[in-house]
Amino acid sequence: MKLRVLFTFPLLIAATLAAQQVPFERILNASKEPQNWLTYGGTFLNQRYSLLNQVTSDNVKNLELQWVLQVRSMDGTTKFEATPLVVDGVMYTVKPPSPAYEVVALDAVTGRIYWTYSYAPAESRTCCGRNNKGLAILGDRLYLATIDTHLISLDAKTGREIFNLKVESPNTGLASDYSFTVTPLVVKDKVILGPSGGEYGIRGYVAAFDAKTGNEKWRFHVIPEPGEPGHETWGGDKSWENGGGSIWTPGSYDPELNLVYWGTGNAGPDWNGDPRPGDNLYTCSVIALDADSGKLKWHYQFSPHDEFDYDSTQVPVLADIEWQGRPRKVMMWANRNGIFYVLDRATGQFLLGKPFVKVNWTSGFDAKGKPIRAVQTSASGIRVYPGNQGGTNWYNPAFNPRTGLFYIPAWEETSSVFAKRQQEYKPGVNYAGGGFTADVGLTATNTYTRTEDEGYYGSIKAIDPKSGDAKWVYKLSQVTDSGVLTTASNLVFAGGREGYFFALDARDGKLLWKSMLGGQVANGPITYSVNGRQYVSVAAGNGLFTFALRQ
Amino acid sequence: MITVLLALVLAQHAYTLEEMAEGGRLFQSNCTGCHGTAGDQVPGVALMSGKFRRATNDDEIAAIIRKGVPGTAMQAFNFTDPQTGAIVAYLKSFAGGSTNPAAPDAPALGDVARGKQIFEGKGNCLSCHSVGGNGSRLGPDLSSAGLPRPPAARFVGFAEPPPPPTPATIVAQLQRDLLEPEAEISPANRMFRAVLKDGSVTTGRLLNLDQFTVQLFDSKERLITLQRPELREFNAIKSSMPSYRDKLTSQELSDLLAYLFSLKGR
Repeated sequence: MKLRVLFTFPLLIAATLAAQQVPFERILNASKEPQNWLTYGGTFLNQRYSLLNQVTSDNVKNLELQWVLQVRSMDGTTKFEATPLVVDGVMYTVKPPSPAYEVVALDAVTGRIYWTYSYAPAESRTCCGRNNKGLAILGDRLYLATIDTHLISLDAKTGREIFNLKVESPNTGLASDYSFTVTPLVVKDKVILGPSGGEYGIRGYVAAFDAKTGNEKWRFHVIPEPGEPGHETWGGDKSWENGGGSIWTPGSYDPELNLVYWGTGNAGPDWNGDPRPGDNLYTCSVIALDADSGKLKWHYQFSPHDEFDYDSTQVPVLADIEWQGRPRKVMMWANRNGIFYVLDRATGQFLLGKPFVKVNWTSGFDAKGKPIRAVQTSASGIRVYPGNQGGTNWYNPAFNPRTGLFYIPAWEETSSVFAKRQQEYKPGVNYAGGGFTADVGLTATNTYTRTEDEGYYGSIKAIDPKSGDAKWVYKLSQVTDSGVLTTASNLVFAGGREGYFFALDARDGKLLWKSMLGGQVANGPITYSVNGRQYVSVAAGNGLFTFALRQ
Repeated sequence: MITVLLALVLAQHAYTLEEMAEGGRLFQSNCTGCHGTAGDQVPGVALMSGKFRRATNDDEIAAIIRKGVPGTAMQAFNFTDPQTGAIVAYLKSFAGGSTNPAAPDAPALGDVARGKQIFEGKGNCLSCHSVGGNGSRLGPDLSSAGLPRPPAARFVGFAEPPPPPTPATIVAQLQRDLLEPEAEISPANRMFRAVLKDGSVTTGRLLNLDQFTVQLFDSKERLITLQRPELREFNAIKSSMPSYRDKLTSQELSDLLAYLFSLKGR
């Protein structure tokens, strides 16, 4: 086998010299090359489902560590969240900007680095860590969106900077209230992304940039301006100007419908809706935009007039499934607000909504699928389930077409006491309108700080999308910030705050294998294959760990 | 209330709780080698009694700290003025402040040196606790018992955080710990009892746990890890600390409180 590799290697080089490495057609058909991982969620459907089947429920116990990429240590709230990309044996990933970004291209078999690109961002303002969700690739170029709102394009072969463009200017001091932490979504010739900053009174948007030049091609504002439909959902005095609606997880794309789907962040100020009477469209929603023009096709709002920080910044998971006897193009969504949804992704029609964790903020849905609010906030505070961090958060779920199950990293039985407060908007100042007590911290600690009888816990939860019911639950002793990966060989991979990375049987949730990585898992695992050997990669703590079957 | 209390105990200067705590830290790390944690180790000197042989006011105490006492082991210390003032504030916070008219319910503070004797003697506290490395490791280390405790619930967001505890709050917490030891036990100090499948029993302080394992500091002061699948039972148990309500007189309790409140080391 080694001989074969030696002989084909020069041919590969010759072939790639002639053509662009990853033309859009390859991304469009990413499911046909499961040896690679070409987008954040594996394919445009964001299912995190791989057809690779060398690692099975029988042999997964033989996984062993192949290599580790150690990055320089990061500050306390920053986590290694990037999902790597793998293209023909080369892995690309990025260390979060704590303090500088480090983009690396490395050999996916040995972990040895080909090149490193560093960028130290200008002063930036982030609420919750200097995080980054990863890179996008198109042609021979990589794309990185930075916390000082630069869009950077690199030559994937050399790491050379092709362009480095500033999108937003500082509005107070040296920093902007806008920042980019998202993985860009590449569609055709455009790079699409949006800003974080929901805690700083931004007005969120999704914008498309020309992949060659970086020129902005279209921008859709999450909050409609006067005269636009939806603006009437923003009462109060100019509340829409600082109403939030951030974008910090990547969107999905349906090529047949030519629609991109994005989840939007919470309305601002976070915990006090009084200055913004109304539903506050299109915050806490999914928006379906025409990929060429950015025009809104439809929307569904998960949490109207949100006061609990329930960002809908989850990755839309697309699938064609049988729905009540006929095939349907659906979108599945486990929302931070604790409810699992199924929507028709052509029309936005609400098909199903069912709590997957304890929920008390709503008593159910009206005929049109709008949730009925069951709790009112106050200055003295009210306990709400799920808590501020939600029933899940941005951690990517997975959908396995073989098992038909949707896998959620869930935070069970969490609650927060939310207390609102009058607060005037000031540029550069956290605009949250109150506070909350949390029973779970935002980041992991290495030692025990809780008691199990406090109630909350984490889980990997398998939901049958047809009913919204849990098929199985793998209970964790602590909550998790890990994404989920699932494979055609009936495996589910995920990790947790305690540093374990583990494999479950996708059919029944039985634990099959585990490895202690010594740092919290806060990205989505991926799988890829080089020279016929399957690898599984996951970030934990300050490292990226790659496993394969013992040979 | 802080202001009133401090104004009473610190007749000459007003110091904040933070400054007093900083003074406590400086004292515990620089002075206890000779003076002891209760300030009474040098014969004839009782730094927390409020009476100083060579000084009649705060400025004179500060001068001794900075310049030393020639001909004795008391060396000069290179503290800044605010640091010296903080140490003076710390020392004087134990003197004569046994009652506080502004907060009649606040527990009275007795004599630090006598409290230390009770801690190490009649109270038998060292059989479970330690101060500055002296004593048992089984129960909580009390070297910083007099410092504010971290709040139980974390408050996030723009709203004001809960106010820092006042000295009276800290003293009241300590008093409750002595009278009702079960009332508030931080998760890091809870005792657990594990029964393994083979019937063997282990008790200890829970250090850590995860999905698959449990880490204990057991009653024999061993660091041990138990595998969850091997556990038949694993439950929190009552603290072995007795209530001192009937074991000490009210004066002894006041003295013990004063000693615990004086402990501001790390």
